[in-house]
Amino acid sequence: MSVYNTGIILNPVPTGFGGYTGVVLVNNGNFPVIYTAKMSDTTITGLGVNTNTLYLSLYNNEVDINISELSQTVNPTESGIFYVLHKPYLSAITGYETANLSISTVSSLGDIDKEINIKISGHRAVDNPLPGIINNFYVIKDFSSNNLYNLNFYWNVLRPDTYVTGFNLEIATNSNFSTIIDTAFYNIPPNITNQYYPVYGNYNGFGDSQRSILIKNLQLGTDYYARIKGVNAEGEYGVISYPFGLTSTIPSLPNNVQNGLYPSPGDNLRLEPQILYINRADDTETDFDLFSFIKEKNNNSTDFRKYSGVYVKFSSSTPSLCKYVASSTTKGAINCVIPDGTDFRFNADANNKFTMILEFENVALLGYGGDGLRFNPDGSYTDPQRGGPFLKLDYYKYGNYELEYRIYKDLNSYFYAGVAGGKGWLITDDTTKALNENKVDGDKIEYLADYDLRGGP
Amino acid sequence: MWKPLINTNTTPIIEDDQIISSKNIILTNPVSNSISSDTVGNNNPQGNVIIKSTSSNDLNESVSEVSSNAANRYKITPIGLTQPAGGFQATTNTFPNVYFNFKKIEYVDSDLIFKFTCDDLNSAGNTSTTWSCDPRIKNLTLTSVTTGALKSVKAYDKYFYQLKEEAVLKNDAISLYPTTAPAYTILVFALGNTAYYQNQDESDYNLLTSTPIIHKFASDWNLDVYNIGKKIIDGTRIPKTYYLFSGSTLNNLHYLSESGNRYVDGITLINPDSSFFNYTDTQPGYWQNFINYQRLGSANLNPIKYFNLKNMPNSATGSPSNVSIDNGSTIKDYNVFTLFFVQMHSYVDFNAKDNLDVINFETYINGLQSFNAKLPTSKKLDTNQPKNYSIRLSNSRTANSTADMFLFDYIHGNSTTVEKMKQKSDQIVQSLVYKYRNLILKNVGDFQMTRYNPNFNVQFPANIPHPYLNIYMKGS
Repeated sequence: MSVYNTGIILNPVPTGFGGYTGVVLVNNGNFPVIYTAKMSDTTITGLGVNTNTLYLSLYNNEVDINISELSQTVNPTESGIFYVLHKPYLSAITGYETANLSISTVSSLGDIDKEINIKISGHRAVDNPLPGIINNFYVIKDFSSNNLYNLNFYWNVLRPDTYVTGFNLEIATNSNFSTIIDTAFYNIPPNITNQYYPVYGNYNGFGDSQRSILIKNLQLGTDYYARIKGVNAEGEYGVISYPFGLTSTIPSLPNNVQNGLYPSPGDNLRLEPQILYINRADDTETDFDLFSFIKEKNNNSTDFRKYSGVYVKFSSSTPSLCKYVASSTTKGAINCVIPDGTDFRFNADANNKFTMILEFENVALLGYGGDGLRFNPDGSYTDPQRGGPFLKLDYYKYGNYELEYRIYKDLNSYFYAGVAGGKGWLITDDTTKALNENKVDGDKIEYLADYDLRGGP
Repeated sequence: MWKPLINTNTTPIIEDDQIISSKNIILTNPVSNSISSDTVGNNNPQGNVIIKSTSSNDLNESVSEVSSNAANRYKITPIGLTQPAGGFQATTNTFPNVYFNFKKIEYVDSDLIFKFTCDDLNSAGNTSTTWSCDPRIKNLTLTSVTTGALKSVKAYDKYFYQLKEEAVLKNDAISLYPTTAPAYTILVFALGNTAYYQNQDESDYNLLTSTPIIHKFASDWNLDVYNIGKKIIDGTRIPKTYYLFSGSTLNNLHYLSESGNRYVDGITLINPDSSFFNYTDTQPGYWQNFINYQRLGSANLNPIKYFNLKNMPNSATGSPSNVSIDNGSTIKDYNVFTLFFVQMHSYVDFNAKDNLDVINFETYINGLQSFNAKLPTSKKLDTNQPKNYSIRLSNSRTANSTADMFLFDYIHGNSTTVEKMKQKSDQIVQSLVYKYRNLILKNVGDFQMTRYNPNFNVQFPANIPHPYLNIYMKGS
């Protein structure tokens, strides 16, 4: 059995805004039913104006003023909706705008039900209600070369009956907001192109449209608090919301942020330099250029003023140990070499240190091996060669800030510099005669791995 | 962490022109062979010319005499200058400040059977006769009849226990269900000695064989379990030390002793005393098969050097320094101090061969395998009835020894598979290494490897402070 409405009064809608209601059609029968709705012209009470302000639609945010009749088929056990959209007449007089909605029903078997007539009344209001709650109010604390240290505020308004024309954002340096240092206004841009749509928002309110304000050129190490209020057409403020502070976007905000009930005074939005976290899993690498790597991960920028450090976790992409090796004695297995002329800028912690944290898990760092003395066929020889480093890390200073390194490794990881190169030996068979001369090339001097840990004879 | 046994034909590290180890250097006769080298880990080929040398000075002389053949004498002239190993490097030749530490790793208590720690200690000098298991895991205590058997001590901001000489912490009636599930037992302990012996093996002997009975975790045995033995190798005066730790509910007489023979062997295997190792074996390998059963059984012991944390370079000077321990009334400096992370693993291969199950015992000391045994049995373990197990931690140092013994953590647990057991055991050890990192680094914070102004970097030499460091580089 179908459920019918015979009369609908829409909530009051202030001038400039829109609203909607709907008729839900539930098919509890055993066969599909075709519903056809027809909307009459609107009668505007008391103004003697002849214009339509109530529209029929299959959607709550779209209107076609040329359509006054719509049909839809509803399958058994399913439901359908005819929306009635209301955009009050643009006049500062309260009243009602009415229209008739008639719905006819035809089953797929050809049975025709009695037509249903519903009187729709849109309530035109003059007084703007105080703005309601603001949802999903959060801040991303950030740094960019253009905006320097900045706070990027985001929010939206989810309730369709929140009739706001703008927002008022206040920034204070204390939690009781007695010292407000900045006030930013966000005015919702009015719709001036399509007279059949509300001036502010849509028939279903502001939907999930996200709005934002960027506050830039802020100071590091200063406490910042913020609050935001909706503003109605009469300049009145609504409910205050307080922000949730982030350093990057997260997939889902906490419930009390989503519903606009994040407690006062919100998060302290104090700007502190951050750590850039990077993971790197490898199999083998040669002469790894750490500086280029972190630059790439910083959007190819050498401006690290957003950060007081970089954390790179090195691990193996396979179950085996990952090996970083050097190709020469002038290279390290890992190199953090700042090229001449590089404008390398960074922030620092309280000790004025920009810290490069290098964490190793299942990783071997191997410097380039030296070589023992080598005899040539003509009797000359090549001198022994020294071993190379496993790390080549530059010292660097930016202003008062200094680059330093912290290295952490697990028990599987090992770091071996290149082996040393030993002398050669000339062996003769007598202490005075150089007969049966043997030339013995110098030895490479082994890695620690070859040291007999078990105590040989 | 599961390192393979190291090839025995290895050359000691020579750093710069200094021979770190006073071992023989074996060179190849250039006529018949050439020395082949790789960047990483090449083995030194053996040749027929052997230069006997016991110090770096010998090689620095312009001429050395060599006796490889009694009929001839050879003149050896060194050519060229030895070049150093790699150290740290920076483009500007100015080092940055670089700090080092172990990575933080944690584990969960989920499959632990018992867990003894020193986490509740917060001052040095307090004495006790009881070590209590973490009550969240099990209500269990180990006690001693010796007054003041346990004393809390402190080193580098870490607290742990010193176990008094001749004291035994024990509980001989611990009710546990025997299990064939893969099991791990982890013991962290240390031995320190104020005395120092120039000869490393002698020091090794004094330090370790002075306290042979350290750990026992077994059922039905009245005998003590010896964890350390010694053996003469190649006629040298000083015996090598061997480690054997086994802690498992499989250490159960009624499970291991399948027959009279195996009974004897089984008992011998897990209870070798010093005399057991006194047999002649001239094989060059250090990994000695000392028992070969007729069918599947075998066991191996592996001598491992002690590693002296004194060798950990001072971050300010690069020089070694004693390990200082505050016992509440005095600060005692140890010339030799070795921190042992012992992993005892056990598991059963069911129906391995000939309808026999094979019980496996494996022991790793500081990540290096020191013992394994495969014991075949046709007996079945009754896992439905709890049995009384005996656990003892002992310091039985001899009267003429000056070695001290310290206890840190003692943990036992089971896993569902051998792989998971080894992973968990590794994870726990990594966590414990992080926990006691201050002792290994002899530093309360991160260890400074290089320094800016004045320019300096420490050297991690071949005199290894601890195998878990695994860093080798030349200093400046």
